[in-house]
Amino acid sequence: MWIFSLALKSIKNRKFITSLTILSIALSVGLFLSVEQIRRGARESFSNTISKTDLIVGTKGGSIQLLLYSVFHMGSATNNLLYKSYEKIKANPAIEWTIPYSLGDSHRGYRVVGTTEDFYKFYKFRQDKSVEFESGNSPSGIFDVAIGAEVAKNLNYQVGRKIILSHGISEGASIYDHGDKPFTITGVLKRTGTPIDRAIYITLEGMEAIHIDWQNGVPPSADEMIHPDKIKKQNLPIGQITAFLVRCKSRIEVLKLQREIDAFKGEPLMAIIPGVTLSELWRGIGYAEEALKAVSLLVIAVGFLGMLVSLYTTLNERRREMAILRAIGARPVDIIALLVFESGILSALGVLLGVIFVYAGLFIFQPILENSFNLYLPIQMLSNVELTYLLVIVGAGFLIGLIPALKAYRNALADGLSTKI
Amino acid sequence: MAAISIRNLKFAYEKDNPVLDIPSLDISSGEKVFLFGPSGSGKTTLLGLMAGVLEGSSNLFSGDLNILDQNLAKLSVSQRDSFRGLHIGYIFQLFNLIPYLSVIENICLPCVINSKRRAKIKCDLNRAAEDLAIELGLKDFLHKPVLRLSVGQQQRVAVARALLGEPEILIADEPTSALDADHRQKFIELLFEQASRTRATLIFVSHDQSLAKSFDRNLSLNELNRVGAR
Repeated sequence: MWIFSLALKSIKNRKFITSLTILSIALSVGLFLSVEQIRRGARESFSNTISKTDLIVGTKGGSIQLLLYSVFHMGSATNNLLYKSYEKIKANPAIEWTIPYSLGDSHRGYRVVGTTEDFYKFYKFRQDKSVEFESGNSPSGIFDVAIGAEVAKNLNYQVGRKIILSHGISEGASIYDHGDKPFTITGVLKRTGTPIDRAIYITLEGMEAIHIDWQNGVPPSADEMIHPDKIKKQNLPIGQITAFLVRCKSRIEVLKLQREIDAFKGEPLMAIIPGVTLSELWRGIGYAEEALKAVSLLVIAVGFLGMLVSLYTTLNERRREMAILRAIGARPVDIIALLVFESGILSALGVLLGVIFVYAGLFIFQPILENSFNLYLPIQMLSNVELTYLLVIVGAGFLIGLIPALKAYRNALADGLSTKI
Repeated sequence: MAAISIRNLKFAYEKDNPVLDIPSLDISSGEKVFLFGPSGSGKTTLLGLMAGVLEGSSNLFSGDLNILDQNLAKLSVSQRDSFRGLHIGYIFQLFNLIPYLSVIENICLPCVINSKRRAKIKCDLNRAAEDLAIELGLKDFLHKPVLRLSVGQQQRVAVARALLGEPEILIADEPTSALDADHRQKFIELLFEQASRTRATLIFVSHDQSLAKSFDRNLSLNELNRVGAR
């Protein structure tokens, strides 16, 4: 115990150099923990985007691609599927609900999603949260539109405003606008912290209507154009959709239904289980995560190296101190313990400060990350994995102290009580 | 009782290069001994052996070295350390103090390290240390960092530390060499007074023979040590 308090006093005595050492360990530990927190947060916010959906169905292609364009609005579909096929599959008694998506258009860089009332009724994110309206209500007319929270905020749109959709997906001005068929905003969705905030929702009929007079992917000339007033919901057959989400009545049915859809006769379709595909995605980007982790561990090693240097360089000037301690009855192992404690205390303080840094950082940057990157980082306890890492880091700090400690031990044995400095 | 008893002590740091060869030396309990010899005569080595800091391993060490009737060679390394902590107070020539501890913390340290020595003090440790320090004229410095003290004051702190817990043997290795003549005499008087009070055996090492007259006995290491004589 006396060794521990002696170590504390010795550290306090060299305030400047020890604070630098603690700070460098704290920063490296902070970096490591931030990487972990962001990684965990990114994963959680991805898996929180879609809940309660058993299968996602699209045309045959890459499963990750299907997941990305249907749920996360990244990339785009290569093919659409026939509405007939959708209706046929939907009739399967094993299915509880479905949500169809028709994609491909955009408005000032935000994706337009054609869907039905079922989206507002059944879609779940973050386990059991439903889509809710900040103001207005769901689009019912052909030219009605509901917008995500971020769209409303960034473009400063309110209910009642008319907007024009663009053909295809582009960030800025598009080549073809659906200028002849303006839409009216009837609802603004509440913030969800998912890609829903960045999407614009219309009805499937609306999606058909804006393309009704198009031929071979080219907009109609002025005389061929059909005026929006003449388009009625009843005579607007829906030809295609891009993908649809499926919820089965029981989990047991999921795999069977997946096989049935994969072997669907009408056209080449595929069904993916979101969780399974998400973990495929993680495996894919796992290397990048591991690399980041390795870099942050290396930074910790550099922090420790700094501590080692600072402890080692003081050993020569501390030879006197060790001789005094020996003279008043300290054993050589006490000398070892003193230095091991010093480096252990430094690393423990460094780790503690690093944790404080991370939580302070989370507290400050959480809203910024959520608004700018849609990355929601919950402020939560350290995970067991993180705690284990931190314990290992503190342990390593103690072990590193053995290097100067053994040197001091040899010095102390050689010097004995000799008064040379 | 003999405080120190040496018979046929031989010691070398390296083989075939003996440093000490002392046929016989006896110092009785309570004696104040002045041990002098030029530098290189083996003073520090002898003190290191007496204090049990130097390793008396078989081929480099032979003979008998008894401190307070305890044969040091028969003790393990850590037993020797704890023996030293309990029975010996050691005063260095200079820089006696741990720089990051206060005066009072320095004085208490041997008793903090060695619980048996702590147990010899019947009252509160800090109280005992303060009383002793005040007696040695350190009243105004008790909680000061030791580096603010003059050399003379530092040496008095070292005396207080060596005395606290009343060890049977006090070893002072050239403790006055950094002091001027006036302070030197005062320091020695102080040391005598305290050694007499605690009935400790004092072994005072110096190369300055002018100090020798006040001691009970003067020993020349050159005469004792056959290695030096050659």
